[in-house]
Amino acid sequence: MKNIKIKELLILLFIFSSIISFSQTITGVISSADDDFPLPDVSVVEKGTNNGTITDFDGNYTIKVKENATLVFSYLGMKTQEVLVTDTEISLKLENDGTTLDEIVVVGYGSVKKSDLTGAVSKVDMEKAQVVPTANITEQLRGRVAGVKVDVNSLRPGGTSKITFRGTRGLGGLSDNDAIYIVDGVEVNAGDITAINQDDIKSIELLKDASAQAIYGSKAGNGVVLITTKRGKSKKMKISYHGFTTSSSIKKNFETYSPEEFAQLRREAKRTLNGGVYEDDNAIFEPNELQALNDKNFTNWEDEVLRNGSIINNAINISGGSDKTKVFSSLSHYRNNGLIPTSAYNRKTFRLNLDQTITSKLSANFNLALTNTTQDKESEVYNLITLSPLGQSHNDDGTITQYPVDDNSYVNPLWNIAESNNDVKGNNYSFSFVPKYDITNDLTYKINSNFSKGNNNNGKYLSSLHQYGVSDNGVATISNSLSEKYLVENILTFKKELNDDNKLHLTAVQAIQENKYENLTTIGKGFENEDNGYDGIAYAIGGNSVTRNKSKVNFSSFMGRARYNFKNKYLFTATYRADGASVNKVGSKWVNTTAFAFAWKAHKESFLENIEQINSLKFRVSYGSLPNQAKQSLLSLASAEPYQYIFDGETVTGFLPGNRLVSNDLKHEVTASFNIGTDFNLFNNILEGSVNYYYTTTDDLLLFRTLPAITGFDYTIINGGVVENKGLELELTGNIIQKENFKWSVSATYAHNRNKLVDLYTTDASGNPINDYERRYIVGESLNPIYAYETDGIWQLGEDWEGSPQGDNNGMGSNQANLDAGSIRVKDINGRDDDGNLTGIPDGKIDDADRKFVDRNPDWFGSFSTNIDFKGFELFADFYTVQGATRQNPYLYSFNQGGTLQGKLNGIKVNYWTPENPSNEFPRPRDLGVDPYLSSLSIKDASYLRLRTLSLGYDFKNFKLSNNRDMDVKVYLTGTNLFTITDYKGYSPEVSAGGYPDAKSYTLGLKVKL
Amino acid sequence: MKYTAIHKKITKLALVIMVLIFSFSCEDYLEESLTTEVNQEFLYKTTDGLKAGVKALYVINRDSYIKREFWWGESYEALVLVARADISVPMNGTLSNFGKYSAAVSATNYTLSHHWKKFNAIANKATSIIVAAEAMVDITESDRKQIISEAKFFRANSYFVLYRIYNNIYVTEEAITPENAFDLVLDKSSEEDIFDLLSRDLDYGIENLNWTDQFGRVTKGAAKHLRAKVAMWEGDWPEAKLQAETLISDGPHDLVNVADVFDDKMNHDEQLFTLQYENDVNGGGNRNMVNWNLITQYNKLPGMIRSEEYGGKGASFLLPNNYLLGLLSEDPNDARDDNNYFVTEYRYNDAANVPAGFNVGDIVPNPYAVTSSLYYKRLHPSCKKYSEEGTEPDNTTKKSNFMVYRLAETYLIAAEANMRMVAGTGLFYLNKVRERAGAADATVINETAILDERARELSFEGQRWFTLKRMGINVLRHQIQTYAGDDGYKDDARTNFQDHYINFPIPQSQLDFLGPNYPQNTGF
Repeated sequence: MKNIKIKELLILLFIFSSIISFSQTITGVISSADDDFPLPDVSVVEKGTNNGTITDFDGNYTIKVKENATLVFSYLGMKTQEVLVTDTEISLKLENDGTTLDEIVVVGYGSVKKSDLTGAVSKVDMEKAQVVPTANITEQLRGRVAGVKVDVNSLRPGGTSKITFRGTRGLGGLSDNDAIYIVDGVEVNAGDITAINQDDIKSIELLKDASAQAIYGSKAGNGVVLITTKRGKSKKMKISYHGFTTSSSIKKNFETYSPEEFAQLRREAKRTLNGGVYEDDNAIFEPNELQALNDKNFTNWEDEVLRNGSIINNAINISGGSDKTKVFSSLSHYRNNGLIPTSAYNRKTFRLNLDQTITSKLSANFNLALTNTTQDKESEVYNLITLSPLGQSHNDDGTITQYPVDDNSYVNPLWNIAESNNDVKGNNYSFSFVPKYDITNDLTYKINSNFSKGNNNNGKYLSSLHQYGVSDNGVATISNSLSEKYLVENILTFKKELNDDNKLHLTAVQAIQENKYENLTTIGKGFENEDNGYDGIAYAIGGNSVTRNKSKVNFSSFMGRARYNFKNKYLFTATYRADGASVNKVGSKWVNTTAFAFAWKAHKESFLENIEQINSLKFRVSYGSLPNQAKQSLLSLASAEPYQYIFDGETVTGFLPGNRLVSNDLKHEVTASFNIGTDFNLFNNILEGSVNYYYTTTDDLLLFRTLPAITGFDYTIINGGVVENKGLELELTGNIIQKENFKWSVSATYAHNRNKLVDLYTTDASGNPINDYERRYIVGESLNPIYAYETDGIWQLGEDWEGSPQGDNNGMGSNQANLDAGSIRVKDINGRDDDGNLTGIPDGKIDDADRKFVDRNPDWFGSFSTNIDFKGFELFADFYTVQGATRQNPYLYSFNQGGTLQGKLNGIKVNYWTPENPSNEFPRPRDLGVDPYLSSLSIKDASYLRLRTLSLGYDFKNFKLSNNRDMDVKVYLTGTNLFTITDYKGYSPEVSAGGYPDAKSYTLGLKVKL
Repeated sequence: MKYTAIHKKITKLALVIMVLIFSFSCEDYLEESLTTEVNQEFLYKTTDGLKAGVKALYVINRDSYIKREFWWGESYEALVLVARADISVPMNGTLSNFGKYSAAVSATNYTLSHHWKKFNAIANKATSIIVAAEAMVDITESDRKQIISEAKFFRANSYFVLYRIYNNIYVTEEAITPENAFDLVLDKSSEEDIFDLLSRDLDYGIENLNWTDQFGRVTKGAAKHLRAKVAMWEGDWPEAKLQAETLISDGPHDLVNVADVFDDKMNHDEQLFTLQYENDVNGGGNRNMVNWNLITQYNKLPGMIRSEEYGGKGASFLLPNNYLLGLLSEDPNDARDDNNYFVTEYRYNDAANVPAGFNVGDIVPNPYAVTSSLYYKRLHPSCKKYSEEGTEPDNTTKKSNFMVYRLAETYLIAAEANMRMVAGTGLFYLNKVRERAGAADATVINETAILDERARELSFEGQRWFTLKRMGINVLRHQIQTYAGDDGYKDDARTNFQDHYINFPIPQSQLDFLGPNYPQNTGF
């Protein structure tokens, strides 16, 4: 009691003394006019005095000034404002002065001014990114930032993509190789990122080097996509609406054989085996195929099956609040109907972000996000390219045919679509509670806690008439998955300006995270009544089978980071972490790593300060290491798999270890990376950009080690390889014209990466690494290279193929089956000595020695975009290019993709050899005995240049409503994937053969803000 | 005052939360434990676990004969050894490369890596069970003996298959652990070691297994049959004779009607070891395309539809050759080619589309030249030993029991063992097999008679090529060069055959992981 009295007395005394000095305390929040984001480190100075302060992380400041003082608010990159003190609260929005130099960049557990960054961090221009109409944020990031490689997983509605930063490290997918997504401080599974409503996103930052990533530790080493959602601002209620509608149609760059050409291909294929004489059509065509040829009654399967796709998106959000309570809330609905009938994706999202000030020292944030999705998948078969055009899609009475040609191996895709049903319903929610307490003015304690949960219910029914349901008389599958995740982080930050020249910022984090997943899949086979679809699973008479999967991965970590700013010229960051992961073997659970970074703001030096052409120039260097762990749990525990058998019709369950031998050691992979870079802004903002060079090596790489089969096992998983990646990244923006009513800027990104396996787990007697050819672990080569022969056109009539290294008469006995005119000619490039070592000298025969490795990865990839802003009109064009990539095209060699020139399946049309058409491109069609080098011939350049986006918008600025409120209205028209220049035949050079076809689309959108 | 109280409370709360959280993050937070998976402690340290291990061996064994697959693949692995012998016409598919002795079958191109991997896996997993059962204290002797006997049967059978295919094999009785798995294997095992292991394993089973057990289980009969086969490879005729004759005389087995041998589930007296398949039952195995390789496309003729009688749906990839069909037709009363083992004639069965002048049930006349591929594909005789009863004839995939060993072969082993010991003896056993098929007794017994009868009775069951190989390179070379394929049609094997094809190459990808001097078979 006594204490309190004294305290109260002191407070009284304090108030009294302020009155005496006629001074007053002014408080307020300074934020950016652009995005309402609070601005830290804004200088607040009483004009004409030395009295001043800076804003804290949340933009708050407190200053004592004399009466009638004028406050000067200044911040690099913003227009300086002077305000006469008339109130005790002065909150301001500072306007951008047109440079991007000092935008705020979120770096994990805090944010810094871009100019104070020490690591390689790129901020995404959201305005440009969101022009792409998709539910998939990852696709919107494509081309936006240098060095971020986006690969499509699936183009199906609701499909996902993955991001790889700075090259591939992992082998065989044992550890995660993809970037992680951190949404408001919480990691979100890559598969769930499509569940986020893009209109909720305020900013996206990409952390590219070890120093920047270190804060997120293990899992972050492959890059971090930091997503920050919008939050409410005080006193101003705002409503925003964004709607768009998209229509898409198939896009391809190849032709299939026309019905007549397809018939001719089959004739040629049969002819080859018939001594060069055409066989009678009656012997090679089914009666209904002959009929179709006679009547010229053909089927274009693409026309029959595909439709135009569509997207409709509606998103609305409200934000605002009082001094103490700020709210942002949004609702959205996204619906995408795919090109293939019945494929669709439906997403509804809700978000509530609430910020509450409780006392002057205590505040808390609450985030709630709910998502409900439904993905309808089409039938599993869409053999549009390969199905015979001679077949019939419909019977004379208009019903769908089951077998278009007289062969029950090939089922009409329309039939399969009608006879299958496959949907995935998802419900996700994520709740975060983030209380924050200012222990002292410098020291803050924050708890970041999150719980998220996702349910996925997949139901699938293949009827007794479906291609894959027929043998079991109908197959119903119901699969329910539940994933739960919680995260708790204790965060202490200490921020101290020792004096003008020495600023210190310390962060300490202790974190735990648990990811749990469980799945129950039930398959029922054999149905007498099929009306219930998969919901009738209980009535299966052909036996049910149940599979149960469960996994739990726990992480625990401690982290400390120190940032030190000396004279606002020299910036240092040091990070230390200890990471533990449950997936590792007992005794190897923990690993310690460190990272350091240094940046030098050269433009602050006296010798550069006065050069007008240099607005800013910074050099950065960082070095550090980060761990990464196995994706799968339980690898180091000896378990047995179930095997079911029957004795005399009675089921028994047995157990034995599977093909994998339990790992007797399993620890973190550790990636050490070195980054050197520069950020610059020259010629008064006309040219800005950054350049980064990096070199990373990953040690203790998790990989499959093949075991000889005589052990009874196929493989085990060990830490046993080293991979290096090095590359260069370039980002440039030219603000060519910067007038009030006319702005023109161009941006380009460029990235080049080389990766190489530099060491493996074992060596031979002379110390040379032993490669694993089957798994393509080849020391000195890129990861997962193509291993193929070098082809050299086609053997032509009159040439001596029998005497060639391929032939029978070369005395080497390589005798290739069916070698003849029209066969693929292969180069003899190498040989082996008696010990089996490669000599590098052609040995006169084609064998294994003549295969070589080809790197699939692109030489470089990048983007080029241009933006013109003219009196409210905005024209944006964005090109994306990948150069020097190599792919083996299954459409040119695989039977199932119609690549084998046998005339059995239709396929992509190529210029094949016949005696009358001595092509040098593709071999002679053969009904049987496909050319063994066809897959080598199909190695093709997959480079492309694509106009991803062309968008024209108009901004009706400051539209006045009747009640005198302002309204912002923007309309835009966007074309997506309007053209692609590539030599690679396929729906898209990014999509695997047999994948969902690519589309081009047109979008009309409307944004309203009031 | 109020403010301070809140302040204090919050400070306390924060401290409590921090303590709670820190206590979470101690070492056991990172512990893992098995939840849905079965622990190997259970498997190798309890009687029930070892019994479960033995049951799993049956599954791996089943998947070794017929690869576990569903829609993809042609199940050709199951028929490679059939195609390799002298009794078929290799028409098409991957199988035909093997049937033609094409050069493409090498250590790096087409290989039998499936067999190398799978049968080695059975042997090693059986060894782990044997080692654990031998060491276990808390187990009854009868359980121990039953577990070890079955496991030893599988180990012996697997190594025997491997030896006969690959010759240069490595056998071990040591259980594999993460510690010894990387020990480089420097050399193959000697023949003495291999046969010593096979004999000991099978003798143990003969001593401890029962004559009868649940259908599908390994019995004394199966062990004795296999022991007799091993003895034949050793040239130990008395042992082979002893095992075969006592199996015939002492066991509960008997030859069944020729029409019943491949009927339904094959749960009859003749079967000695049968892989169990069943539709619509858990553990009933995967569907496969073995039968599809063997059945012709008779349905392409007007008036014909697919029917169970003719084996259902097929691709005509591997057909019996004229040599085999000739042997079967030597005796007109021989019932084995009367739609029992082989389909030799087709009768109209589609009333709506029977051509004018014919009726349902009339023999389909051959409209093609007998050397044309259309004849082979559509009207040629075919083997229906693998066809499934009571199923939709249009199905590409099938699921039916697969007989590995049966008593008819024991009879022929008894016949041959007698003949090898005393020329001219053994006819009794040979004629038992002929009598059962309705064929007249043979009067002469010699190597040719044995080979001919084995072809008639056992062809397309995967034993033929092994028999030729056992009799030596001269027999194998002669048979392939004289009979493989048909004269002038798909008879590439006759010219392609080289002596080193008596073995299959060890897959190069496997050799790469063995010692630098581990020997590949000669000639590869």
